[in-house]
Amino acid sequence: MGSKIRVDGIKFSQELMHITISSGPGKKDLNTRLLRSMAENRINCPILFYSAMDRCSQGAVCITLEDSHRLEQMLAMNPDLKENVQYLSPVGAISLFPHKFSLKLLGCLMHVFGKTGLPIYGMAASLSALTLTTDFHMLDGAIESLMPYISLPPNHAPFRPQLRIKAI
Amino acid sequence: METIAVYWENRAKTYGLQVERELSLFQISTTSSELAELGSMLMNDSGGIRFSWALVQTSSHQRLKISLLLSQEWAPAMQVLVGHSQENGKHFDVQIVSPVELVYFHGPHFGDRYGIADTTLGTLRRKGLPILAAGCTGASVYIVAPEHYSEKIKQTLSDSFDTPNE
Repeated sequence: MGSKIRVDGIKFSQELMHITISSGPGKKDLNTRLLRSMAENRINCPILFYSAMDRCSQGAVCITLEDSHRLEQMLAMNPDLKENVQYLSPVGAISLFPHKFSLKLLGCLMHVFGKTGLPIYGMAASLSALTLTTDFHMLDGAIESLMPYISLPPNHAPFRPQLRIKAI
Repeated sequence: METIAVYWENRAKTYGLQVERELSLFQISTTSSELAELGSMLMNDSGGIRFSWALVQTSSHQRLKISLLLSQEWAPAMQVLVGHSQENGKHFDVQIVSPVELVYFHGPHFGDRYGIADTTLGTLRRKGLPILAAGCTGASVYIVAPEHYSEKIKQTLSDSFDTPNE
């Protein structure tokens, strides 16, 4: 193993619900409808992963657990959406800053999660962070497994959020 | 302590819509058991290869789909890297789409507000614009589109979001 990868900060999300929706060839892409219904019901999706290739689409969104009741009510009114979604809960997101657009940190996450059998439900890059979703109860264990590969400054910010913002 | 502030926008503000062209989209499909080796290869052998954007999804067959968006200048090095792994008996399925284009933008508290994903992806899909991949995390939105579509996507999103004058 080479030198450790410098990471300046790590942030955990609150408890999330991960909702997957897939469409095969010849089937209507329901991702757009799901997003529209969520917006109409004022349900935020802080995380979205989507791809559409070879006439198949696959999307996943994460919502906070406190919005899950409203999502269930929304889906009860949309049976065709309801029968095409799968849930995972509770899920948590880990954001690592900065990725510097290097494949090293991305590869490190894939290596550690693959080696330890920790699940990756989704991952995406933003301007400076790589955000990965896994089981909420495994967030601390995931960081423990990553520590041999990464170095954090001694004065890094707390992993768990101390401030929450919610649009009402 | 709870603080309530009231703020309203007719259209969500952004810090500007950015476009990157001449990119290659590598889609690598692997099993969870092969993930450690693929990760090790990227961590140790990728040299200076930089990604423009990255997305990982689980597929319905317990496989992971890794989408790496690279500048076309990095594509040959990535092909060599993946090719070496395949020669060594690794069975990563690789699909390359090239050239593709990227539109991305960031906005204040995007991750805390409902409706941003619908305003983005919903608007584009209702206009019939193709999307190969997309992601929203933090305050960022990324959209990968086939060649020649980034300008139409940018124009469409400019009608839905407030963007700084260019």
